[in-house]
Amino acid sequence: MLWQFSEMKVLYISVDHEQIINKTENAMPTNTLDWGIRFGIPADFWVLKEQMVGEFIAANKLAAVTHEAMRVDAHPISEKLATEKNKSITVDYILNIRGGRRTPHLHYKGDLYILDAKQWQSFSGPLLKEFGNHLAAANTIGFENFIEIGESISAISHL
Amino acid sequence: MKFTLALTRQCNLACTYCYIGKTQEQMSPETAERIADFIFQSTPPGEKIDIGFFGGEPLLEVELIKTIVGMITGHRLYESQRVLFSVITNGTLFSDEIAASLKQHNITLGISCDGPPGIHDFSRVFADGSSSSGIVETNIRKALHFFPFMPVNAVYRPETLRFLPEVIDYFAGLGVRNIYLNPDISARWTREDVAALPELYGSIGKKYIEFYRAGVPCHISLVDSKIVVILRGGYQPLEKCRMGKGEFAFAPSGNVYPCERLIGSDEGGKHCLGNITQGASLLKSCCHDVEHSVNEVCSTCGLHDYCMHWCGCTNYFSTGDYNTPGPFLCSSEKAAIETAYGIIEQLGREGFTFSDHLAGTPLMSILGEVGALSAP
Repeated sequence: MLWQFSEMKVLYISVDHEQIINKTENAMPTNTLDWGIRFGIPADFWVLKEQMVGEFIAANKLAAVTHEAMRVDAHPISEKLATEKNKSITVDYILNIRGGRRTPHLHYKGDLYILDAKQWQSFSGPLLKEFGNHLAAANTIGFENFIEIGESISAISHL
Repeated sequence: MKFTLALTRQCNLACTYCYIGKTQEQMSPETAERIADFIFQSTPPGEKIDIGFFGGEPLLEVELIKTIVGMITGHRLYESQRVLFSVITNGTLFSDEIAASLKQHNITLGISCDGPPGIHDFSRVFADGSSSSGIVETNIRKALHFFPFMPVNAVYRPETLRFLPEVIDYFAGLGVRNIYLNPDISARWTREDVAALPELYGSIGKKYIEFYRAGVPCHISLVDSKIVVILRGGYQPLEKCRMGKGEFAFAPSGNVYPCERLIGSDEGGKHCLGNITQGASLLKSCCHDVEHSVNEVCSTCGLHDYCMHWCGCTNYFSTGDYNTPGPFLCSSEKAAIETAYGIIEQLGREGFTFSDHLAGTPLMSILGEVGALSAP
């Protein structure tokens, strides 16, 4: 095998219906005409956190953006929409360097939800709090550890 | 999937930290053709294909680049939306003609430059020892006209580490918006170097904030990638090092390596997976396993999901083992993460949201990211 597929999280994208289904799979699908498979590009935050996003939208009674001009990037897979017609949107993504719209927003089931600053703080606060807990539990590989590791590797490398 | 083609072992520079052994060897079109077949055979349907031209100095082989692009785009399995081409050059051979040719073939460009002349010329000199900084600076300015978001990649060493803030100032002054900072992974980093990292990265973070407030944000790799990772809750499986599985590097000889940093003098050896001319089916698999840290310090660390402890080549040069990170990587990652977190908090209080980062990518490779940012 040139690559490994064992228990890899795979995102299937239905090109026809632009619906995204999160699925765990052990092997490549045999039919890749109707189902695109995403290896090697980042897992989409909006899919991975779909439940959390949905709960936030419901709790805050957010309404999806209906104006078509605002909806063109409502789909997480923006490059699939990079047709000649909306190429300026793609350029805007590039100008933003990291690839996303700067206005605080959420994607959920193909719809776009715009947030104000307060709502964004409310949404991102738990994410940052979760990270703060991780940061507080950080370890450090000191040079003492390094010597021990080096010795361990030396000890087993001849086996 | 990422494929790096070292087209030649020749280079007109003699950088002191270069990990590619210099010879006159060039890649033959026949070898390139085998690689083209391998690229399409080994890439799962639908996955993006990042093809990076590397060296030696790849712009010594502009005609070969065009030939290979022709092989790829003419391949029966080629799909334009899947394939990205990029070239990383030392910046000494760039010209308007080369720029036009790269654009014509949809090849994006990155230039290696270590910073202002005193820092750049510390390591990146011509074979006779003369300075290369003047011509590289001129060519960066020129290249930005053709590729406005062109990334510039700066390598820092123990001797130049403490000048990183000046490096950022220099690039920003040239109009570079996309700055990559990479440590020389083969350097002997000391305790004092490691101890200096939090303050140095903090200084870079202050500059990042200044750019942001001024409305001209710069992408600074060690900051932006960590902002993305913090907001997204860590690296996802396919965002980690995939050396020898989702990433391959090819020496001019056709020897296959799991990462371009492991080509070295191309003497085969334990990193080499085989030779492409003998058939892809004979290639060895790579033993690097990003999901399993071998040391307890990493596996019990709170930053385990946010840290690049899985970078196989960095680990190898530090500890001799793909899976075991050393103290420099550990401290560098921790300092970068803390800097990014501080920036999110600071700018968040001022109303900046970083929602664009939430949808962005924490790609760690300049080769892949050049294409991702500049795709037509």
